[in-house]
Amino acid sequence: MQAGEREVVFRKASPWEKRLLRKTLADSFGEEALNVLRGGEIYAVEAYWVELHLLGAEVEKLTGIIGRLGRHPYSAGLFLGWVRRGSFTPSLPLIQLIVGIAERGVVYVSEKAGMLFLYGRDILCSSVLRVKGGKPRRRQLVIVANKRGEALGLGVFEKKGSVCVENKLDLGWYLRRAG
Amino acid sequence: MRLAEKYGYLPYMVERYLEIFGSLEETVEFLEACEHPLRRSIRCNTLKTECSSLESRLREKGFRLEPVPWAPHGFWVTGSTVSLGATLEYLLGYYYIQGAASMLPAYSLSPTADDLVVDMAAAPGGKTTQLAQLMGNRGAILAVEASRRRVKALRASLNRMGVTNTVVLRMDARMLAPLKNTFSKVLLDAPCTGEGLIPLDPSRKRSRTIGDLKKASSLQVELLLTAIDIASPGGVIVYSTCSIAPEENEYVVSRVLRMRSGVRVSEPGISVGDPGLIEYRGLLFEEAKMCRRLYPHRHGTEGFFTCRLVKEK
Repeated sequence: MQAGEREVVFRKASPWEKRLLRKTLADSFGEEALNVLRGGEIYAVEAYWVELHLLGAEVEKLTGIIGRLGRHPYSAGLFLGWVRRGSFTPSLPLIQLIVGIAERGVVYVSEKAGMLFLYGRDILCSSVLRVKGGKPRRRQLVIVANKRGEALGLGVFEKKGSVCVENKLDLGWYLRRAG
Repeated sequence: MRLAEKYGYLPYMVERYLEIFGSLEETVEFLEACEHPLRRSIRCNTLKTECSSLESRLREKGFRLEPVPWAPHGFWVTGSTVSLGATLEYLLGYYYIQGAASMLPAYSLSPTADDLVVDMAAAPGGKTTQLAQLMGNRGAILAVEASRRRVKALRASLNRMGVTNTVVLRMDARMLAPLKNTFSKVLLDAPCTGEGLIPLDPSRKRSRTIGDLKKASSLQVELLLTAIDIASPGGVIVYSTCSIAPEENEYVVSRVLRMRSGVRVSEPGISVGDPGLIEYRGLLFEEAKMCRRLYPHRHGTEGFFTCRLVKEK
């Protein structure tokens, strides 16, 4: 989830990157999800891969001030996710903002399944309590949430035997990788 | 020497404690307190949840919590059935595990939504995320951290705690000097010997030599000079360390005030702690009485120092 060890380049996101971001969010979670992008400017931090960030006006102004140092920020504002091999993957902070407003693509799971998911496990079909907006498409990105509606992570909807959601990213990352 | 041997400290440390506390009795009290682990504490993150809701969720999980009297979002954790860093609420960013004393600098700085803030030694992010919380994720914060490894932990904290008003820069904060008169609030929680953290990490009883202390003190002077330079006129600077060493605290502030005019120590705006040391090894620094010191044996916290400075308009 980091921009890597290479020196970073901070720039405005390209039109293609913005389109990819918006398309991914709208396709997976509905048009309402795009509301989280309102009132901000999208920037990219480029190292080994590209990360997208949403900057409010004050934060954007600050990046301009930092420009006087000739340094590029390592990150700024809301970390939206990253672009790799032509696809966009939403970040944990982004899905936590989207989960409440998504029209589809939220899979609510039992408490036990939720805890196992935090350890990197997939979600079994028998643990799914309900799905917002109807059954997702095959390979659709979905937010895995608990009964309270709290986002636990991101998965890919894929029915394989007893598994319904493959784990792509979960909050346990903060323990496993963050330090 | 006997005390140093008995408690396992380097002798120069205990000699200084005798001077700081002024009596053998209190020095022993301090050394005894450092033998026991501190109460752990958390800070509820109002960017993501309400403190009352967090409190009831954690109580349901078997946590025993007590509000920290001087920290509006702080709770002592006096009992828990699971590790503080392994709950769902932690992963959701509803709280940050933070020493009660280390919550003080952000309250003392008291940033608002209108401020442009810099946190000059930001990792792992406890104070940066607290500043963002106090600002309601508005305004802007520049979080600076020199270490590549620690900047990753900083980013993870910002993401976990839902902070969106911060820019992270990986660099030595002394290099911020070109940004003169820029920031309305400056936090310098300076890199230090960690002499206040002995109850948490007893290896520090012997791992920091007097040479390390001098080195830390020189770096702190350089950083505080930069902090003053980049503060805007009328701006506030809070200097803090997790050390009780006067060489890293009152001495640093006093030396910097002699090198920069137009800066003064001000009341800290916090309701806990003892006044800073006015006199230590021949150094007289009257204004230090407005700084604050916390000790394990007097306040039940890690050893800590904080001092609020104001740059004149």
